[in-house]
Amino acid sequence: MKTLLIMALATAGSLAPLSAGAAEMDAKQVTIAAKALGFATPKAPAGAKVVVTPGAAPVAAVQSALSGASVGAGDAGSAAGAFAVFVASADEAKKANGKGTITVGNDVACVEAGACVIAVETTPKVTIYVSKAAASAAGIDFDPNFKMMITEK
Amino acid sequence: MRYKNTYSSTFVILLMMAAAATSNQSAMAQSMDYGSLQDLFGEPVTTSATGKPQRASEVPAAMTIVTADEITKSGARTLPDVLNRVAGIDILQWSSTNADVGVRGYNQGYNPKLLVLVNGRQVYQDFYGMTLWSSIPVQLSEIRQIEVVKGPQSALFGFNAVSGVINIVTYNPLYDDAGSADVTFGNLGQREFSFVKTLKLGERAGVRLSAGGWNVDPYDTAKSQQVSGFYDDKSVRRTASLDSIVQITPDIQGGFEATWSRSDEYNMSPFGSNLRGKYEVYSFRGNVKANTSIGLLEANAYTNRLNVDLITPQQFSYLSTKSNVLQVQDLVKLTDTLTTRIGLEYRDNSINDKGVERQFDADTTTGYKNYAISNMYDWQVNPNFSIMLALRGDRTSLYYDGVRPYPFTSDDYERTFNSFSYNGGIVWRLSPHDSLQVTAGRGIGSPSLVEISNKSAGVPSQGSLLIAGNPNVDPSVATSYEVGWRHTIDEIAGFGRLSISHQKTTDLKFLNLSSVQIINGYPTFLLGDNLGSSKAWTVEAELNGKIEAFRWNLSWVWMDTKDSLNIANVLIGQNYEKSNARNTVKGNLGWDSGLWTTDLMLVWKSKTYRYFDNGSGSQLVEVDPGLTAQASVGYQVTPSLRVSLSGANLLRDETQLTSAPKAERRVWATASYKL
Repeated sequence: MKTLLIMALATAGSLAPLSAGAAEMDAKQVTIAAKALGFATPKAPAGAKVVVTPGAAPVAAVQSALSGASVGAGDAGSAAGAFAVFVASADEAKKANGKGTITVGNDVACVEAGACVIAVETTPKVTIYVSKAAASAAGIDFDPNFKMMITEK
Repeated sequence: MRYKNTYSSTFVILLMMAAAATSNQSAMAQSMDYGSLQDLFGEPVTTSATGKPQRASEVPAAMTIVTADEITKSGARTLPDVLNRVAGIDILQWSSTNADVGVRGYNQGYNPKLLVLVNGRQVYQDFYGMTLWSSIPVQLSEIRQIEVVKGPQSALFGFNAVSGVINIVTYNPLYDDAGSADVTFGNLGQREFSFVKTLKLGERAGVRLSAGGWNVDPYDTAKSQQVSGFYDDKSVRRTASLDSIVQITPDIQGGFEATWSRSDEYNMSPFGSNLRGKYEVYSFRGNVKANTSIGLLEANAYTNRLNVDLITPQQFSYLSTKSNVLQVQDLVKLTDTLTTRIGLEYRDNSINDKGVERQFDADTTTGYKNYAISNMYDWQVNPNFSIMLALRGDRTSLYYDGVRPYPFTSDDYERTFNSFSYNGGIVWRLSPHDSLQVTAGRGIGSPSLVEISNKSAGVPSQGSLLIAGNPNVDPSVATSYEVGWRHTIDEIAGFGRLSISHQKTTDLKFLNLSSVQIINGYPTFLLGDNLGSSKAWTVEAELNGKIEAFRWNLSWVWMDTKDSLNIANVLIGQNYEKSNARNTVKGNLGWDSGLWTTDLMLVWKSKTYRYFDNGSGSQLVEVDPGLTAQASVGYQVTPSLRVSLSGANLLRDETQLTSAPKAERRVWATASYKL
């Protein structure tokens, strides 16, 4: 019993730094994020490099949603030259950010902190959040009509 | 010379926009990619409520969007048949092909109260002030969606958005891959073809081509000899259009559109008499959109031309009208939550009347120039509450070229008047499933060209009775207030909706061929006269859902109308208290499974009464169609080939749909091949 309690506390402690929105993206969120990436400028080149960091999203789901991209698991340190990096935390996003790289997650706080470029929500309805500061730092812009329909932070 | 100046101004503005746009090369200029945005947000998107891109569920307006999928499954072959499915839309099917469309009552022959657009270009004709639905140069298979906005929308769309606006959005040749060849055969000798194809010209350009037409016999039902003279010829329609878009730079798109159509069909006049019209319509439009540091700039310049051979019980007339329009707008996201749109519009509308039997060598031209400025603000106060306010001011100056416009003088046409319109709305999301919508609007119905036109050819003899347009006619003004509640129902993937609205229209305009007025000593009938007002309460309830293979939509509309007219109804051929249906119930049920689609549309309307002149004077005719049905069954034979069997007026051999001759049961088969 004592062992179980320690394990539970340890598990809770390991989750504490993550906000509720930082749970791994589900397949629907990945699909929406992939569609949102389609409104970015510059566009993803054929075979664009996309990195999925641990705990950010199922790699297979990302590959399925971005069929024209070269998707691989990796940490934020391997994001150099990537078109997009799926991240699980603001810290990872900060490490992954670079010129031409779009950091994507489902944690709105990450966008509010200016760390992630895009965060997506799918319930109760599809909502896209974009950090203007992070997008600008990455040299990324979006379709002007798309920008009218999303929440910019 | 007048038009030359217009085009020069357009060119200068386009150059200015290009200069502004090239100062910012960081992003891209885009016309809206409806398909991708709909795919992203999981629902149709639109710009027709505020001018800015929005999801259908978030617009501060009473809006219904009919999708391409719904059009296909309906089996309908005309735009009015498609629109008949929408709650609050009223169709007056005068003949096998010709119909008038109204929103929340007040429908009539040559209905002037509904503004109709194709991709933002007006296809409403300023001639009598009406929409010739058969002349709209659009094939059903090139339509992405039809946006129906109910209530006055003049602050956003300008004149004649009085009872509402319908914007037909077609596939974009730069973003969409669309193509279809359709043939239709049916009873009443129906022979119809339709062709649509988008073509990509490299990475930066696209063209959409479309053409189509039909030949359909009239209903072979009882009618007087006089009516037969107008009614019994075959209805003919031919249309063609070309639409192109070029991505000039990453930040600038340019577009050019040319359209042509010709139609020959039976019409109902505004006062209930028979007409036979041969209409030739063509248009040219240039368009530039630029993403700039000062917002999303857009300039539109277009010209609409209409040539009419019109046969009335009294005479044969040949007329032509022109509308030259220049619009410039800037859409700016001022802050993360505040968006504004500033718009300028110049319009020159004129009618050239060659007179009865083309007897006049000296043409007369009557028209008006209109200058407008508009401004819209959309403020997302918080995630659950938004406010929209739009204001527009118009300054209108009449003009007349020709000999003295008896009984008036040229000075009478030196008239200028101002009009003001507004739209306001709030959307309050009460819970994840409930939203409350409160809207108000003031719409302006401009005098039509016929209402102000004059076709004097010389000095009339003293005491002779004249029929003349009226330069002193005022625009009609409609105000509307509406409260609506919408509840999404996850269990049926649908929604319930309830709304209550009140509308009032003042300075209603009518053709007044009964009250002789003495003007400058001449007894005169006026083609346009302000003769009172009318108001109505409307309740709309709608339930929409889908469970597995079944989809349905059920709606009920109740109206209570009160007229205050200054003239006997029979003299103007209108009685809105009697012609607005008290109750209208529509039910749509569809079942889709595998390669099969089925669709059943039932409509029931209360008994109404309409004036109709069958050759022996205007009489009030009882119209009691009871329950009517449209249905369609479709089968996808191959991935490219779809066939369908459809019908209308299916429940009886003959149905009294309007005051015109009864409608027959119709059946048609369509084969559609995807190109």
